[in-house]
Amino acid sequence: MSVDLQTATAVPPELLEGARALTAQAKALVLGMRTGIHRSRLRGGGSEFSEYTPYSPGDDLRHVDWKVLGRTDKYVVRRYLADRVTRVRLLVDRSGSMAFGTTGGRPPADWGPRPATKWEAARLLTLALAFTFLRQGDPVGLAMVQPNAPPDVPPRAGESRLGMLAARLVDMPAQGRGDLRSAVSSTAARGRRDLVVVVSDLLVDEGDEWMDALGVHAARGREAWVVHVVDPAEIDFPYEEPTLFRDLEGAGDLSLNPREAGRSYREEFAAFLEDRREACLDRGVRYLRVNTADPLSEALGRFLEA
Amino acid sequence: MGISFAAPWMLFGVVLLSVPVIAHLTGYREVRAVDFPTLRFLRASQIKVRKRTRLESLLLLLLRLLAVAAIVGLFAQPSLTWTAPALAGFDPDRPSVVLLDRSASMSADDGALFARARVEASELLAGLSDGTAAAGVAFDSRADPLGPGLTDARGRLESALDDVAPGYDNTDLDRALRRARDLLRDARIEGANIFVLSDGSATGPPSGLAADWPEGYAVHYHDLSSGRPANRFAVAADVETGARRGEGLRVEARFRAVGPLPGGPVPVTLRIGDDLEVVGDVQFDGDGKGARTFTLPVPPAGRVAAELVMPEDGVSADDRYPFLLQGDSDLEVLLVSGDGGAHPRDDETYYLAKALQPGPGSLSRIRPRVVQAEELRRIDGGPGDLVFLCNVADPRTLAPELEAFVRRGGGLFVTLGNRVDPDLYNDALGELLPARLTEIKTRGGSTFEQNPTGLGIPPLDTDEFQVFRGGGVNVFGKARFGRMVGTEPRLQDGADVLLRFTDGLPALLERDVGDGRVVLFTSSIDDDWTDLPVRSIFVPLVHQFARSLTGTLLLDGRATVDVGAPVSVPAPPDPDDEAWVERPDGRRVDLDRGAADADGRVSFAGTHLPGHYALYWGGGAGGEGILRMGFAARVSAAESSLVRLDRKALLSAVPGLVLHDGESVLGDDDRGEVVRTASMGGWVLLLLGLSLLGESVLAGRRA
Repeated sequence: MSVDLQTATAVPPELLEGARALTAQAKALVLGMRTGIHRSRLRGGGSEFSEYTPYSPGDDLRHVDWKVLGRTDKYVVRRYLADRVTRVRLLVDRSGSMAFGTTGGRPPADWGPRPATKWEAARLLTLALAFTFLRQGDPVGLAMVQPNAPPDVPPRAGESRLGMLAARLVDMPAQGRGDLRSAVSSTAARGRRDLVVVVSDLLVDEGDEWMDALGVHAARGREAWVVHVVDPAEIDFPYEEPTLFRDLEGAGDLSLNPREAGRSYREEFAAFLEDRREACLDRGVRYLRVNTADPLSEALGRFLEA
Repeated sequence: MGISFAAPWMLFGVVLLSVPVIAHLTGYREVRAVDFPTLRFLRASQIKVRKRTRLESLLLLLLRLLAVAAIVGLFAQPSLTWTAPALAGFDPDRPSVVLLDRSASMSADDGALFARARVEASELLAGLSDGTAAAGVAFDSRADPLGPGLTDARGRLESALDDVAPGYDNTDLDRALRRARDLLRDARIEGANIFVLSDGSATGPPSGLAADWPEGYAVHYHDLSSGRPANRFAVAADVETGARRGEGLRVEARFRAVGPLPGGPVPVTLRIGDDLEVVGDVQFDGDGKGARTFTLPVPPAGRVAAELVMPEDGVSADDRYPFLLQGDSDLEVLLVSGDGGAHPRDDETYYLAKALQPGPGSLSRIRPRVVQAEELRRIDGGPGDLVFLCNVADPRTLAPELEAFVRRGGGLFVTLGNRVDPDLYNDALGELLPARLTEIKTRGGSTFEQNPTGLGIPPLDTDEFQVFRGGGVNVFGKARFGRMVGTEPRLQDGADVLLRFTDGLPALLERDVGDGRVVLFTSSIDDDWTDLPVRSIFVPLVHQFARSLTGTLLLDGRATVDVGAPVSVPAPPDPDDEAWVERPDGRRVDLDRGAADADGRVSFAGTHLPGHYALYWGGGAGGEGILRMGFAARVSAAESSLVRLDRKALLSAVPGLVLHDGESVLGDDDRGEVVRTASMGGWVLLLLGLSLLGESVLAGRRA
């Protein structure tokens, strides 16, 4: 499979390799799922021809262009524009807390090296979702939750957009304090009829205002998804010795004995996870929790299949 | 009270207290820094646990400080020092022995007298200096050192003192003083104080002490009684059965009252067994004497425990006077007559049957059944408990059955006569008879009344003849015998001669066969060869042997001894049999058969409780015993009468004795002081152990 990165000319050359690798991983992740896009609820069902795409396992054989096969000896699938195109706006949290990760030393997955941080897992998931939507002809846009965030990438269709999105995702590390509420409000306002997907660790201080904005969006009949990225160390808190904990978003330091506070922390964090899940479901927002220690393809596959 | 240190310079080690403080303050310095997504939850958790962890942290610091302080304390060897009341006028460094009277009279005033004595003993011990040897001896008729004996471990002595209680024994001051002297002598102590804490009464002053009393031993006799309390007690209970017409039992009880006399009649209860109580009054005369007779229409059967119960008074230990009523138990006896005769009086068993059961209205519980030997091929209906074989011509048909009966534990009494063929008897009953018969011997002329041959003097210490201690011994010699059957000098195994004729020939022989016993009377049981049946000793004699052969003879059944007095009890002749005494509290005390004297008697000295005792013989472990003897122990009248020791006799009996009548050991005035110290090493070690334990638990919990 070739990836057209010509549209990602804004990406510095040293990042192109990273974007290419990320794209490959995202595709491998999606293609590795048992669930094909044809089974997606966003599958394009229209009759207007859009483009040819190479055949991949899971593609509907009815759409294989047998004439092209006869001429070129290549399997290609005819893609059609859906009767009703869903525009997708991906909103990715690239704040400092996303830079946390403890899964770097784990064995690699089928689709490549396992993400070491929540940010690596988030951008991979984001690109995998983008690939999924783009394959079925949906326009996909991208926005970042980050101080001084780069301009949003407006939704556009075509798999060729994938390279540009990847370049946008690898161009900066996760850092600083992001304003999720403003980002969600802005994204939801721009795409009132769009699917809004938030990929974040939800560690924000603004309360539930961003969630309310997402809930309003869902209440208007559009879909809103939240992909909650969690590192296993946040859940298990595997620290034992007295430690100085430094806030990744610059909210100070804290010195404590994990043996004393560990149990209470685990209870607090478990309550937080449950609270976020319930808050989403109460507002009609689909919720997916992804533990970076688990296989991402399984979590994503179950989510898309549901 | 204060604390002193054997190595005070070690206290400089307290600077080590700074170690746990420093360790505590620096113990939680973070060893590494970790980037974390958010501190929001950590801060919330820290707030939650901060209060508890701060408390634990302080506690941990305290425990560590305590541990270090305890270690320093161990090296400094602290001691607790305080002053205690000392003996007024006595040297607290002088070894001392405290003799605590626990006799029955010390239970006066509802135990208050003894409680006071115990407190005084405790204060005496507490008033001695550390390291001074001291001993406590609880005494009555015995003298038992308390705890470890002579020791400077005061705590153990005082603990043993708490376990002493007044008993029921007499006061034997002589024995107590000798015991104290021996304790001090054994420890090679030349100068000591001996304190006697008593109520001033005893069975008598010490005797013979002066000759062997060390000069350095000073005796201080403290009479703690505050006067003679009112005490009423029984001194005797004479029992007579069938003494008068219409009386089955007559108990004549005599009482004494000491101290203030009662103003009127005093109720007294005669308690017989578990069911019968007879209540009456006793009136005391000016000398404090009283009496009361109780009569019962029907005598009790067998051995019955009885007691006279007086109302509670100044001395509670003697309010009950136990004694025994002894009635007979039922016996089935088979009399086999070998010479029936035309008239009942001519029957061989006529006198025997009459003696065993005189007839209606008799108190005898022996029921004889007479059968003629000619009619007898086998013993129909069983032999009962005992068989008398009386002048039976041919015992061969009965021999096997009789032998089996005896071996099973039955009793056989064989009497002879003109129908007996010695050779036939030797053949038929050789396995049973104590000796082989030889020939019929004739003494004197044609009528035995003129014959001088009589019975010899019976051994009164044997079971069967003890009843003749009170009289009748001379009648044995007056009985006349014209004929008897001689026996071979060599007795059979297990045989013995119980009684001889005046000419030396055996008259009564016995032999143990199997589990049973055989007695051979070598003359006739009727009046053919002897006038014994018409002698006064005949009835008690045959009754005694009937009881003895059936194991129902109660020995010394009416004996009542003073508490603490030894009782001579018979040991079973069979070495396989056990013997034991059941005490009033139901406990069993085994007798040491090895301690039996030449007469087979054992001295039982465990009569320290008032009440009823029973001697049992039994075969093998766990088997039920046969009651062989009953006796009762009561508080001595000498103890109950609270007779004060003659002071002059006491002073002359013990050299250097000082009397302190009515005085406390420690007077309220002029009380001295003695400095006492106690090592705190044990406590400090305990503190160290606890603090280390707490530290490890707490630290483990935090880890």
